[in-house]
Amino acid sequence: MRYLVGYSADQGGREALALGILLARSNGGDLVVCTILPETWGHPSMARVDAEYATFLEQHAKKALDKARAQVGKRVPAEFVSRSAPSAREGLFATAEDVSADCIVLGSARAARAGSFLEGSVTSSVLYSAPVPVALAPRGYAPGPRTQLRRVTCAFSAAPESGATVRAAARLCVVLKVPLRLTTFVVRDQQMYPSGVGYHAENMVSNQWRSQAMAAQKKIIATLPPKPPVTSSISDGKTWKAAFNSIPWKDGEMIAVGSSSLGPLLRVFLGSNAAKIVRNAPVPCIVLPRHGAAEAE
Amino acid sequence: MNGSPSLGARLLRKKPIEMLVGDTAGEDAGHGHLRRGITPFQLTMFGVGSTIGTGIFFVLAQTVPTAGPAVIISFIIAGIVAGLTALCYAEMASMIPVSGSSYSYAYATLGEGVAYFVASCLILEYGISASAVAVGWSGYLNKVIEIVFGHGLPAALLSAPLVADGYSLAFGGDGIINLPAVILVFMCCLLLIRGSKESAKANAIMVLIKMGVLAMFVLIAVTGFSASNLQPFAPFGFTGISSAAGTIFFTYVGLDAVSTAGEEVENPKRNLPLAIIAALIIVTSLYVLVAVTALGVQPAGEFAGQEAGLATILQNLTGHDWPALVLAAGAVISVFSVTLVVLYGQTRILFAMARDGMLPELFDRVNPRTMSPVACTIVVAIFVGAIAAFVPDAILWDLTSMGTLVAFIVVSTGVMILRRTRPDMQRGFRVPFYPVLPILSIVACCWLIFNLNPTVFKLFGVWLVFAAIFYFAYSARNSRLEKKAAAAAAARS
Repeated sequence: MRYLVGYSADQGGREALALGILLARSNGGDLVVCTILPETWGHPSMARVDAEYATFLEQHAKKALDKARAQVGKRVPAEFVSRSAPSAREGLFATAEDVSADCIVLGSARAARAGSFLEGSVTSSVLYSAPVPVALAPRGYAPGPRTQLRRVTCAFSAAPESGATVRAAARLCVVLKVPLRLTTFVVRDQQMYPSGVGYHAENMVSNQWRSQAMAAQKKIIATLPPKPPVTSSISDGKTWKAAFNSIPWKDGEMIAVGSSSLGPLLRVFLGSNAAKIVRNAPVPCIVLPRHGAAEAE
Repeated sequence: MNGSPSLGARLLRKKPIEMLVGDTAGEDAGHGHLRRGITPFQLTMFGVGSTIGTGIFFVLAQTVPTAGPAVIISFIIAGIVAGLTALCYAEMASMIPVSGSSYSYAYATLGEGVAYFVASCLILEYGISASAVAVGWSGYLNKVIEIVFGHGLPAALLSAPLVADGYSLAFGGDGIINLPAVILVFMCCLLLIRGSKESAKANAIMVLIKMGVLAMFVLIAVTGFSASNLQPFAPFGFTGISSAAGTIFFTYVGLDAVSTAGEEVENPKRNLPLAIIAALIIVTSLYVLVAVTALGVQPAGEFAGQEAGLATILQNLTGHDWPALVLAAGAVISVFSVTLVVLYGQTRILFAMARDGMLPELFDRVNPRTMSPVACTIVVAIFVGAIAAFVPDAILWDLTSMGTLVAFIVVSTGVMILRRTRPDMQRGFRVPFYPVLPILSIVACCWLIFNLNPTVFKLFGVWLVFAAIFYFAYSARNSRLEKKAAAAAAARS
């Protein structure tokens, strides 16, 4: 696997790179660390203002990439590039195509709570159109030097299109040589006040959803190939955060979420539930592109 | 089918209480459930909030022609009966702390047959009352539009194509569809599908709006009060009064919101009856005040067929538009919330039934995206919307009262049966003056039922026959208890 890390010379960039290193190290992949620069006007100008700006950018990129180089060291094979593009998103996608990257790795905006992810302007544009899976490092992500990827948990919604996501996650697990865990989120809805049918009525709905999800997991697991090993789980709680806390997470675990069925085929498109998962996950996330229903069969 | 239980066994089989409790246990059932701790004041507001709005804004047009000014007495009678039944309801709810309303209580104690019967009555109490309220809402919405834009919606879009001629249904009139009512039902449906629920805070705001507009009505109307309008006080005698009381009973639907909170309120022995009685006193006094002042302003003969009655009265009295506009707008907002509460109740009752296998699996399917029972909500909205669109409200009100009264009779009977068969079971709240109170409650409900219009009995009978056919064709075979029985039989042989 080849991972394209969208690098910037700040904490978010370092965290993204840390995740990239962990991923590449786990399955013998390699890294392409890329800094995107604004485009400059290529023609000569009065007083060379633009040329000066271009030189500044070049130096900035060099400094940034030097930092990245120092962080990577000799742990994984890596390539360091900078690219000028009208927008960070376009630059990343073009680079991903050039180096035929299998996954784009990005960091979190600084407004996120420690340990969670929040999309910034670049990530959010990438999350609505990336052609390859996007891995996201939460704020403050710092894996130990020997941490390896140990498991991928796939968020399974029990909706028809969710089967394709599970299969894609299973293929990913085969490549990464880690086991797969399915989990379905049971986020207990607020109870209606007042209510003529008792003040626990929403638990009835949630419990039904829980058993429905367990049945759906069993069904999908039966259709999966023997590799990778699959376990199932239910994340049950009053809020998304509480649901995440209700199941154990390993050091070196990732959660995989699928793209919304509203988005275009073979592109990443963050749905409303996926966005909640991404923002509340205590571990890095990988958002998989949408696979068609035909592929699900 | 070999080894399948007999009809009697099917009708009498009961759902184990542990099974019921398990269905509604929270995610942390094992680790000590965090109590919500509803305060008695909040609980009273729940009662007031879900009760006012179900009828006071529209019911005068319906009942003053039947009872004359004596409708005031009808309000008090209906209130007392509602209070008696609410107390019985509270004992049942505190004994079997599960969701699903009287359907679940009946299933646990009186057997599947009675539970199914109660459920068919509850569909009238919730589903039909949602339709009736939506119809009333459309009158007030039209009033708002009329005052703001100078002319209302075309009549063809405001009323049902069916008309009630002395309660028998016939085609006629100038209506095609009651469009605002349909729109209201579908707006509520969308909210429920999205999973957004009315909160205790929203309820408090609604209660303030409702009490505010009703207080405004009373204060303005009292200035035009003329005692001569109250003469003759009871032109149709006691028959008129009791007949109106039967219809009015429906305006007290929603008091169950208090009764079902047995598990949630601290010290239910004291707070539950306190909240029920406090809510009842607030609601009844407001109703009576509104009725007295309305009758003092407008001669009894003018009430019949008056849509958006309270607003129209204010308009005629003051000669200004704004008091009527404020009142109509308040009604539009608060009745919206009542419709939401009632529709919610209906969807969850059907959901509980489907979980027990009494209804097709469609009704308890939870949508993965919204994690709410979308299919069930849509089906309910289509039915409630269709009834609101095409059936006139006069019949709906009486049907609602019928269903509610019958369900309450079953609950009151259940309280007495359980005191005999399960005296040991723990009760968070016990009905005072046992056995006088439950008996009184049953007698009072029966009396109100027999005063309802005979056509309603016919409709109710038809509905029950439909329900029974469905029960024997589907529910009896697919009940979750049936599968359990079959498994047990297989294990024995």
